[in-house]
Parts: sequence; structure tokens; C-alpha cells
Amino acid sequence: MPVKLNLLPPELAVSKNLSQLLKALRAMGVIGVAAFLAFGIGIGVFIIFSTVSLNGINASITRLKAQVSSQQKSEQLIILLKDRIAKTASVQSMPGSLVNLQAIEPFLLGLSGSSYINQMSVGPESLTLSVNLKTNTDLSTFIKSCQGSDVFKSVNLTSFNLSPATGYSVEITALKK
Amino acid sequence: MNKLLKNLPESTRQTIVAAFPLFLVIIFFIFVGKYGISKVTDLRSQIKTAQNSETILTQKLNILQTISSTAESGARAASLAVPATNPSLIVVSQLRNLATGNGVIISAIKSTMGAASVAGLNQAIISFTVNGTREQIFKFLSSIDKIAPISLVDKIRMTEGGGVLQADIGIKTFWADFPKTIPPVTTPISDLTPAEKETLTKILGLIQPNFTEVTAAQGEVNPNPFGQ
Repeated sequence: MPVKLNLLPPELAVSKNLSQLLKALRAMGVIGVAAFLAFGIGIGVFIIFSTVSLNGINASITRLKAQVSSQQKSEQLIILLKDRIAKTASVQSMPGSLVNLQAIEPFLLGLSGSSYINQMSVGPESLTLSVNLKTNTDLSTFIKSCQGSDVFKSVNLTSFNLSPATGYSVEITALKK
Repeated sequence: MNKLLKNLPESTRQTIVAAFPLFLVIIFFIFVGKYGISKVTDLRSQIKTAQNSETILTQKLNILQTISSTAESGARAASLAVPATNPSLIVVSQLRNLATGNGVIISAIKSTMGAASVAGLNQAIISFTVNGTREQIFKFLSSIDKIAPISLVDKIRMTEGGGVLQADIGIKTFWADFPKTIPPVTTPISDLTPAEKETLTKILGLIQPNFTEVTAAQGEVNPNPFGQ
């Protein structure tokens, strides 16, 4: 039967509890070194792969930049086109008188040749029309057109005169819708 | 070091010797971890930025390659719609052509500078008088917004007598400086939006001005033009 012998001098002996603690510390040290090596190698590998990947992307960017630079004329044209389109849209959004003129046009084109426009002023927001109507038919057509139309926000009859020589003189003011 | 350790009690000495590797590993973890993690974070951010630039450049190249044919014809028409210099003369020429086409007589044409530049747009006001029948004048006026350079009918004043309508008209025409710089190469570029495509279609549908190129006179060259 084997006999356990402790030949160490008694002053070098450590308590049982401390001995267990030291054993645990040594084991943690070994595990720590292994973990550190794994961590270091992992980070190193990641850095190498990332650097290679970054270099590849940068090379691709350099190649693409050269290709984009070779298409500079197209880019200039697109920028010019977009700028002019924006300016055109800006002009088209400005108020003009043509809308009001086109709105009143059907009222006037339906009149007979004997009736005529005495005076008409068309602006971007409103129009004033003074019209001479010779016949009752023209008068009723014109008034009905004004009543039945929804192209203007409002139509005000500002003046209405009857003269045996010139016929009916009607003046209206219409506001843009 | 050894001398210092020898003077210590055995239990303390053995504790220090056992804990030293662990302590060293913790220190290494702290330093290597700090450097490594910052380097990894930095690389990841660089890769992300580079990937974004790569995506932007790829999209930009695709757009430039696909849009180039549209851009060329569109830019030419759009530059005539809103030119870089005062287009009054071209507009007057276009108005004369419209007047001839609609059978109306155009006269008293005047051009003045309009209001100060708004959003980079400069204005010129062209006023003129047209005479014709009611239908002709209305047709003529409706055609004004179909000409290039773009013009806006501002004021109309009409009187009629003897079957002839006379209209005093004021229109605004516009011009704007061309863009002077192009953005950096990595700035993204977008294709035309549906609204922009709609505006471009309208621009392409405008009546373009006719430019006549004057060629040099043919014939013998006088070798001594100042001689007798």
C-alpha cells in the first residue's frame, strides 16, 4: 500500500483551504491564458479579413469613380435637365390670366355676330367683362351661361343697362376659383 | 524580485505566484481588448461607409448609363424652354409665327425688364397688340403657353368693334443662369421623378423656335478688298 510522504519542511507547508484556493487560481490562470489567446487570434483574424475586404471595396470604389467620371457629360446634362425642369415647374405654378380667359371663352363664343365685347380686362385673379348684347336670345344665353357655370368662384353682375340704340349692356366681375 | 518574495511568508508567496498569471492575463485582456475592439469598430465603420459609397456609385453609374439618351434631348429642349439669357427676341419671333399661323395682326411689340429675380428666375415683360376675329384672338392667346421659351400671359385687355377684336396683351417670359457646378462624384443622383417626367413631357411638346444658320456667301474671294 503506497504511503504518502511529505518531505517539505513544516514552515513551507500551507493550509488545506489556501491550497485549494491556489489550485483554483492556477486553473483560472491557465483558462485565462487560453481565453486570451483565443480572443487575440479571433480579433487578429477579424482585423485581417476586414482589412482585405475594405481594400477590395476601396478598389471597387476607385474603379467606379473612374467610370462615373467618364460619364461626366451625362451627369452635367442630368443636372441641367433637373434644374430646368424645376424652373419650368416653378413658372407653371405661377398664376396666369390664360385660365380665366379660357374659362370665359365659351360664354363669348356662343354669342351671335351682332353682340360684341365692349371691354374685357383679364388678370391672374379676376376678370371684368363689359359686353353689348343686341338680342334677347344673346342676353338669356349669356345670363344662363353665367348661372350654370362653376368655373369661377363668384360672378357679380355689376351693371345692367338697356339702350334702344345699342341693346343690353352687361358688366360682370368674376373671381378665379 | 526573488529576494523580495523569499522574505515573504510561504502562503503569501505561493498566492502571489499562483495569482500572477491570472493578473497578467486580465491586464492583457484590458489592453488588447481596448485596442482590438476600437480597431474592429473602426474597420466596421470604414467598411460600412465604403459599402455605402460603392452602392451610391453603382446606382449613379446605372442611372447615368440609362438616362443619358433621354437627358441629351431633354436638356436641349429644357434649355430652350428656360434659357440662360433674356429670350425676348426669340419669344417675339415665336409670337410673330403664332400670329401668322392664327391669322391675327400683331403690332406695338415692346419688351421691358420684369420684377427682380425670384428663386433664380429672371423675368422680361413683352407687351403687344393683336387684331383679329374673336375666335382667332382666343386661339392665338391659348397657343402662347405652348411655345418655348416658356411664357406666361399676365394681362389681357380687349375691345371689340366692327367684327374686329383688339387685344392689348402683356406676357412674362423667363430665363435663369445654368448650374455652374456639379456635386462631388460620391453624391447620389436620382432618376427623374414622375412629376419631373410629366413636366419634361410638357417641355418636349412645346413649339420649339426655328434657328436659321447663316452660311458664308459663296463666290470668288476678293484678294484686295480695300483696293480700287
